[in-house]
Amino acid sequence: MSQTAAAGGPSTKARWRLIQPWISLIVRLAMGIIMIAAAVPKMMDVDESVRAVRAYRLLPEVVVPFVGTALPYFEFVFGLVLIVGLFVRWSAILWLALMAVFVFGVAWAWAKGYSIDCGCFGGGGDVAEGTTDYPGHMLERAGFVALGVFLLVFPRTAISLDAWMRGESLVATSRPE
Amino acid sequence: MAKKDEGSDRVVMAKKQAQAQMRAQERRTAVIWIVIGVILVALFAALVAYIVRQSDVAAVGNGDQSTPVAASENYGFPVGNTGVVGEGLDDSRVRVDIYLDFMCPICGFFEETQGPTLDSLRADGTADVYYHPISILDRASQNTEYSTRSASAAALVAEESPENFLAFVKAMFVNQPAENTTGLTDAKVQEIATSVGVPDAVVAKIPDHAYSSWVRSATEQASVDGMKGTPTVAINGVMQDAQANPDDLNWSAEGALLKFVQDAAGK
Repeated sequence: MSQTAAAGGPSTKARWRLIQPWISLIVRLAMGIIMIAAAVPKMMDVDESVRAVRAYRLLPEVVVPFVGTALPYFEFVFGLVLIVGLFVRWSAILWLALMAVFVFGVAWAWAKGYSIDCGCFGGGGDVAEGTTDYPGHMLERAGFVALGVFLLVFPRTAISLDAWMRGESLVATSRPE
Repeated sequence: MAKKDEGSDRVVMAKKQAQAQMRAQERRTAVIWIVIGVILVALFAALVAYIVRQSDVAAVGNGDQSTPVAASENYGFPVGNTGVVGEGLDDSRVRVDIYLDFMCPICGFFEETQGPTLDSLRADGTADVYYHPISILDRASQNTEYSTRSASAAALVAEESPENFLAFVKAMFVNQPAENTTGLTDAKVQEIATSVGVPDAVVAKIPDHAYSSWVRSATEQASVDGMKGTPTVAINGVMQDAQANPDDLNWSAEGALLKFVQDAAGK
């Protein structure tokens, strides 16, 4: 472990190398918690999740009930993967791909003038006119995309199973040089 | 380590490296199997949840669960010019379908502002009104499932005390609880039913929630049919969504409902 390689002086670069894994850890955990927070209410009310998927009117009815039921399970597992820090770089890519799909969904509903709630964190489905908050959802999405991009650029995180898998100790923050 | 000579130092290093590599390999294998296991379990759980839900929703109509015979094919309670569920209907009239959730504040607002218009259109034989008590807001009653309970009570009244159905629906909205409260208790719902004249024998059945499963299926069917949240109005089977389609009925505009239904009736 050689994170003190630049011991000649606490240069900005060295400091960044020291701090970055912990920032990435916070980002990673935030993403994991967001995923699980999105999954749990949907699992509690599967009917609502199915209606939310249906409300986008993007998928054929034959697959809507399955997607609505399975999506929260997928989100839950993905949230766990993020929290334990497994395949972090790939997770970041998958996260961004998911966000691309969700942004498309919200943009689609917006463009079509559907008065739906995004259903991102449970709830969802159609709502009364005037209570949809498309700009708000888009802003939220932009924040989520920023998190994903950060993790993609800096996938080295503190306390990750990735490091443990490389044979390092669980709290290792550095890549094997 | 500095004390040791270079040769043994190298051997130790190589050994350590080999050990680390082996450990890494072992851990990698273990993690991959665990991940595969978790994904399989999740997939299995999702499949089970899907199958259970599908059979639950489909069970209604197969005679497995209480299904009110008063309900139409699309799970509405038709009310004609006599004001009694299932009576005085005429296919030549305009058909108005109303989707409502007793927890939904805008549904209360709809009933308050549009109820009288709808009643007069119905009473003078312009339109038959199909009431769809559904449940989309169970999450807004602190786990007491007020939406489902109240819709089930409405189905019971429609089925067993059809002449009191309209009055019951109105009274339920007059006494509407605020969202994200526990809703009305079954006892309070019973009290409301009694106050509009529902016989005691029927009132006594309200706490059984016998039509909960039916309400769930009704809600699913409404969603499949394109129900756009509550309240949603469908005119002659067409869901009205003024936000997506400017030609559709925007009932919140003054006089819009009356004009729209009269136009549809050709009056």
